[in-house]
Amino acid sequence: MNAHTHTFELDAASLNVTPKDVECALGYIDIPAPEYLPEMIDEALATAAGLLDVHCGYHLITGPELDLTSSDVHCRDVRFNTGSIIAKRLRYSTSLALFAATIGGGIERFSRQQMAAGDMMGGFVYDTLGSVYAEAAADAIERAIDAAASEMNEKITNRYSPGYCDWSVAEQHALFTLLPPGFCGITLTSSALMLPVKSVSGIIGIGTDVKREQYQCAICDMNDCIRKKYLSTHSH
Amino acid sequence: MTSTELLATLAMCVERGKVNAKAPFPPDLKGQDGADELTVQALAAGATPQEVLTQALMVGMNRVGEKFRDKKIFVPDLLMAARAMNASMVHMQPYFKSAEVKLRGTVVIGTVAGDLHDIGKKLVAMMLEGAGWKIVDLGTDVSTQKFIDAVKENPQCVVGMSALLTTTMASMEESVKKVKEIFPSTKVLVGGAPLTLEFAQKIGADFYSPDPQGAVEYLNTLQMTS
Repeated sequence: MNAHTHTFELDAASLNVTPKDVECALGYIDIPAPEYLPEMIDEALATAAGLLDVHCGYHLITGPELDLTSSDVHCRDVRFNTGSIIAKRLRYSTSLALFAATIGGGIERFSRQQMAAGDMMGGFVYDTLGSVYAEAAADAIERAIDAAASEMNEKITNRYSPGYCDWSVAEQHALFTLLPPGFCGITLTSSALMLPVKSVSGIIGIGTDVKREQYQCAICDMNDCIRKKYLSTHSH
Repeated sequence: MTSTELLATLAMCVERGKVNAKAPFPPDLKGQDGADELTVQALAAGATPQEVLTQALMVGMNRVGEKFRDKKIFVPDLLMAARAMNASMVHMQPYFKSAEVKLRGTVVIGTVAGDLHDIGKKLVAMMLEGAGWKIVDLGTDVSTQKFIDAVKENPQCVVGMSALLTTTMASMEESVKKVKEIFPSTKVLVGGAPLTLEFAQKIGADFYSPDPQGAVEYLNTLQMTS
């Protein structure tokens, strides 16, 4: 695959978030959600459709610009200290897709407004829904990269993000230096927090000899990880 | 019902998140009085406001905190319990203002500088309020100076700090060290997803808990020994 940038926008329908996804993200995986939640979730899903502003994109960096032979990931003039868990899984990539996805700030603002008005429950449901949509947007990016790779008879790895699997969130800054300015409308705070907050970024490896783990969290020992919890609910 | 029975029922309503008689949840309590009505009835039956706080609201919230810690319930259940507690608190406000109800103390709480995450900190604040503490919530992105100013304004307070990013753990370290340097006897609690007990000890915090109930139980201990 050649070095280039792809961006696209998505609507709520194409993200295909279901009430069950939200219930699981709220914690109700093995036990039924309390009776008041389904109605609240349905209402939130209907409202959220008008609050979403989804932008996704990825930038491909290919062979000569990569050095994946050591215990970190060297990409152009940037050396990511991803930790050995991620570096090992990216090692046989011939291209890397650096990606970002955001659902915009609408749901987060709405959530904060609800909490400021004293409705913690409503605010929390919207905040959780925002996280589910952000992950769904990242899933959409992953599918797009997978489709592009398949056309070239290549495969992809799982997606890896700063802040997970021992990769410091501070390296978000380095990641964004490799993306076009203002990519997907995402900016970073000095503490590497993405704004809008409901955004996801990371790296996916591409090549003929890479492997996608069925349940990637098995490789990591961060037991309180939010993403691990999310994936455990979506891998069934 | 006697005042004792009313307090026990009120505690159960807080635990189950039964706000008032109109509330349809939980379904098995539909049509029955909730925390709102039971608080009025308990006070009318002779329970003191202090008893309402300590023998009903705190009891109910403590059970909720334990269940949450044990992962038997989740955040929405905890928030529904808080709704019920707040319905009761409406009737308790005059007694707080007149100091007829004695709170355990003050907790100054905030998310450290550079960090905008609010919800976890709010949940802890809510549980501490339910345990009988006055909460001074400084919000998010709280500078070290703002924590220091708040301790000056609330001299006997305990300080709670939250961080959800590894990058803002450095801000937490700075704030904890500065607060402890200026106010050595002030207890500082820390929490947040990326934190560990080792990190809390390293930065000089007095206590770390991965869940709100841990903070409640630690503060209860402080109260007993102070």
